[in-house]
Amino acid sequence: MSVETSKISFGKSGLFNKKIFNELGSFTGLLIIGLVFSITTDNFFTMNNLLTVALQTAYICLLAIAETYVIITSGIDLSVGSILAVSGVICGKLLLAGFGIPLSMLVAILVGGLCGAINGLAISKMGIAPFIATLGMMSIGRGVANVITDSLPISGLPEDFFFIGGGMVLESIPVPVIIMLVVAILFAFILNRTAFGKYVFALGSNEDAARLSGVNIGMTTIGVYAVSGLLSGLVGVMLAARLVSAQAQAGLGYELDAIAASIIGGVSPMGGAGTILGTIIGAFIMGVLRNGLNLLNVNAFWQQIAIGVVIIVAVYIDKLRRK
Amino acid sequence: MKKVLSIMLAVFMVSVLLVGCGKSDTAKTADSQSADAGAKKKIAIIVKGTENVFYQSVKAGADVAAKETGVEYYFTGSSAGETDINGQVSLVENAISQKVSGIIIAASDAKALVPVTEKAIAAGIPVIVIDSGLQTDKYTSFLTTDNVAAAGAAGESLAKMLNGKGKVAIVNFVAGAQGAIEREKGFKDAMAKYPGIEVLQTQYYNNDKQKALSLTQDILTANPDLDAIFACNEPGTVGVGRALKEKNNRKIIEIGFDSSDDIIPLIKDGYLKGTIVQMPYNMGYLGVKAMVDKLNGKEVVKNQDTGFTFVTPENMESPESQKALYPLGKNN
Amino acid sequence: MNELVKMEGIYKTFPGVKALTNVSFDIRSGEVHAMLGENGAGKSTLMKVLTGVYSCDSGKIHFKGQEVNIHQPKDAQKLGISIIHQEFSLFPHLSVAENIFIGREPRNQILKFVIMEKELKTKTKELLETVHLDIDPDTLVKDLSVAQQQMVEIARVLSMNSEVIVMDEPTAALTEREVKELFRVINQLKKRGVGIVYISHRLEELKHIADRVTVMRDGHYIKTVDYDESCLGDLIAAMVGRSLDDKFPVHHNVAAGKVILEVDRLVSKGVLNIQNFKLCEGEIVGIYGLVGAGRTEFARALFGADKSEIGGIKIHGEKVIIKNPRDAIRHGIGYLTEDRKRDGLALGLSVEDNIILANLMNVCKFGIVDRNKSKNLSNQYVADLKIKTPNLKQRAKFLSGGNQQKIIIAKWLCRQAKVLIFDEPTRGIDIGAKIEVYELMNKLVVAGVGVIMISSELPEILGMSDRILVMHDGRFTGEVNKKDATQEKLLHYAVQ
Repeated sequence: MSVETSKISFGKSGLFNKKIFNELGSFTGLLIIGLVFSITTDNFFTMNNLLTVALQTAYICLLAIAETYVIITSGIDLSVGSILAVSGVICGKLLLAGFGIPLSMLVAILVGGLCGAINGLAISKMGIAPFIATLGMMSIGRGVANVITDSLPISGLPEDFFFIGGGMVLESIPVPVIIMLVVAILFAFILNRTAFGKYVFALGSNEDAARLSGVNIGMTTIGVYAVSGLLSGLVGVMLAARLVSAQAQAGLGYELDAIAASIIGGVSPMGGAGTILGTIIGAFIMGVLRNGLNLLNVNAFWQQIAIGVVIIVAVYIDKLRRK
Repeated sequence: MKKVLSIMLAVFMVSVLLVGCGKSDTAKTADSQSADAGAKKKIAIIVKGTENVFYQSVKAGADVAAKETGVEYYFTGSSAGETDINGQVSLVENAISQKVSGIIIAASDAKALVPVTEKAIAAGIPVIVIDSGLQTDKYTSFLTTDNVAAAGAAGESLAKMLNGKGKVAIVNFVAGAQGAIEREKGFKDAMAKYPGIEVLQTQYYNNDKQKALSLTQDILTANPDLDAIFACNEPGTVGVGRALKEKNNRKIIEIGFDSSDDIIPLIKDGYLKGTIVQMPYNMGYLGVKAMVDKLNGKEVVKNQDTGFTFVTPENMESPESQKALYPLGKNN
Repeated sequence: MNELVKMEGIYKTFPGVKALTNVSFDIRSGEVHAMLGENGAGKSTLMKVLTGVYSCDSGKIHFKGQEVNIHQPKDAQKLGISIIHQEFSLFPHLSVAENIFIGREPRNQILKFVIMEKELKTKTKELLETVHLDIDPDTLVKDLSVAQQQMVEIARVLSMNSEVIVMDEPTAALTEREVKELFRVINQLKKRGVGIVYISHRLEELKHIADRVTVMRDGHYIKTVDYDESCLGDLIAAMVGRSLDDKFPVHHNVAAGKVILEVDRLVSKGVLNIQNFKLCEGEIVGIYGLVGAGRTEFARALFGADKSEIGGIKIHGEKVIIKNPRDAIRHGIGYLTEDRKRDGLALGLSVEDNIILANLMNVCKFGIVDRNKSKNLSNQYVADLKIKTPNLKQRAKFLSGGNQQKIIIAKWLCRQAKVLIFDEPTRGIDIGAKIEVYELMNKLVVAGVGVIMISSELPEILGMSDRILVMHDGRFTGEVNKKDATQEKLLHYAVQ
């Protein structure tokens, strides 16, 4: 959660090692929540359940990584849930048309990236505020998904497709978790070790200074939203795979979970600060909380209250730490 | 260059918008051999979500009835889904301002939709309620599956499968919806007759299949001794079924509600041991018929049960089950 | 003159820093008491203790002879002690009247929630007259100039019947003319018996207003003297341990080299009208003018930050096209902006990231940052420019103004800029750092860089430039060589 010192650390070895110390705050929170559930329920701390939690959280993690990039530039992307649906149904349609799983997935994910790039264009070239531009895309995307499907679920997809969304490697490790880890490492690397990543932080920290330092603001903005779109597209494909059925209504409201996960994970809503590791911890705090409360058979309404409280408390603790 | 880009972008967005609007759900009846020479009667059918196969069957029934009676109708629902109550209220308001001849509605919320439907009735537009109840008595007619009876029948069948003993979970679609309350009640009432059966606290998945799936995983983890799960509508039945399929778990008895292309394979593969199939076709068909009767000044029955079929892996090949599973024909 | 405030034996410690050690200070009615000291000397901290922003660890504060406890800004306000901050605390979208009386609006006697608009306006008008500000009370503050905003701020503290007013760097953003106006108001306040604490880096201002001067250094009280022009050298020595002669390092005249930059026509309607401009290798061209003369606009247009009509730009005799800052940087131009915090530095990012920001492409292989290269380069500049930072990861916002300025210089050195535009390079930084910046500029010109220096401070312009261009109303109105330059000459061109 340490926005204070964690941004752009240049640890000598590995991507995460230096940051682990900085993320200690939120990680401790996660451990405490885990400990409480381990004591209060019989089944929380079992390999089987932990893998289930990882699987359930992988999707939100991926969206939260997308949101992390966007929020670091001091933007916001409300359209991830809708772009996800567009990619999901496009993938479904292509599969039904017999294009094969790899090609269908690739096209669907690229369409997601394109939707994101359009967000970026609207923001950087038309000067529309990110909140408004992505709000528009949120509606457009949902509409496009409904138009494509005539608002019917796309079923009858090949069962092999399931592997991407819920398959297991080595008997017990869910494929989405592996995808999530690979994506997290890749995007942490991009954020911390590439010129593009530096530009993302510079843009969020001080757009004017970045422009006057020769940062291509337009391309960076478009790039960030395209990243967000690509990851949303990936999640859309994975969710469709999990059900072996694509829905125009998939991912409704997921943008809020993704934003919440990033913020809990210490990404500054003002921009300029945040880490991928923090975001993943943030997503797991929400995932573990949901899972644990389900295991405790807690009333669904109390769960909503609990999650809301955790969001506010997490951000407040982060604020205190920074003082 | 920037300008050109911006213009292209604007054009793109507008065209997306136009494409989106161009394809609306208005269905016009081709043959207009209507008896009355006056203006053609137009009915608004407002459902919870147009995506659901269920409401597509309503539409199929409405299509046939409209053709038979020569009325026009349009079919709409909130694009934000069943939980978007305000969206549905605006759809009703739109219908009123368009001065439709009648409104057929499947209400997203039993209370929240009352004022606006009463406003329609006050404006002289008769309202027929289908599928989900509405807490007013000013409507012309209410056509629905008797949810309590259907869920009760499902419960009885489950009790038989369990031999009157076991632990049962209920996953429901959204808290507070009339249909959700009734199905849960019917099912619980049936369970209550068997002291050997323990029913867990109801959990909600907000009509999200992924959430139903995750929820099922958590319930199975929390209750290794669980025997059965009852899912209260289509997304839930699919989500629970997929969760069982992921774990290749055929021991848990899933009882579902509704049918769809995603549900039928779950029955075939033996994960879903029985599902209540409503007759949404009847709701659409009988609903439009009743509306036309009302508009023609005829007497209309206040409450009509549209019936259900309980489809199991064993009986799914029977003609009756087939008709229930494929109301739109098998290739549709 | 009676004593209004007496502070005795004030101690204040922040984690790891002794900010104030046994400091004493007093303010008399009807005087301007100037405070001198480099940044970090403890002036602002002492004033924050006085105005209740901080509580002191130990020490006594007397107000009109009585011991008082000031724990929060409200306490100070009640006593009539006010502060006008460097960054104004006005609400840009509210009117002048609302700003002055916010929270204390005249209310209707019966309906307490109703504001008496008429009374509000008359009262505001009276106050504005005392500060010689002839504007409509309904004007929104955002539409005022910086100087006018400052007058509104003063009117606001006057409306609270303040007897002690602390002014922290009040002239930092004002033109010479506006400064004069401010001094007139200050002298009037003096006559009314108000005690004024005046914190400034501009020593030359003191002769117009100061009665007494207190010098602080490193959190310690050094001395208080009655102001006398002859003691200026002593005061500076007390502040920095250096004498006045060191203020401008000897500017070795580099034989002006080849023309490095040539601009033919730079026009922006209603803002700029430059016919031509030349800069040679190893030359410092000073650009002087009053605020609003178009100096920063010239720099921004040249750098491609703002749109303008350009006849032609040649660098080393070759024609180049500059449409945005990226083009400018590619052709070797660097720009140190007037406002470091607004558009100079990414304050939230580390020292290292700021230094390499403009040069990332040369520190990257296939888009991936070469961390060793980045680190070595940054370390080199931190050492060369004596940037005081605990490490490269320190966020820029935690460094002092002088060190922040050096980071920006490092950014452009790292990029190996051939033409550097310094816009108000020493604004808000202390004397020690100022001298270092001047020395750096000298080093740069020796190395063949061409420097354009925009400044409002005449001594700086006169001390540093080889050639001085004066701007007025978007045009160059005069060109003066170093040896012919006098303050009077420059001012003459600046106001014509």
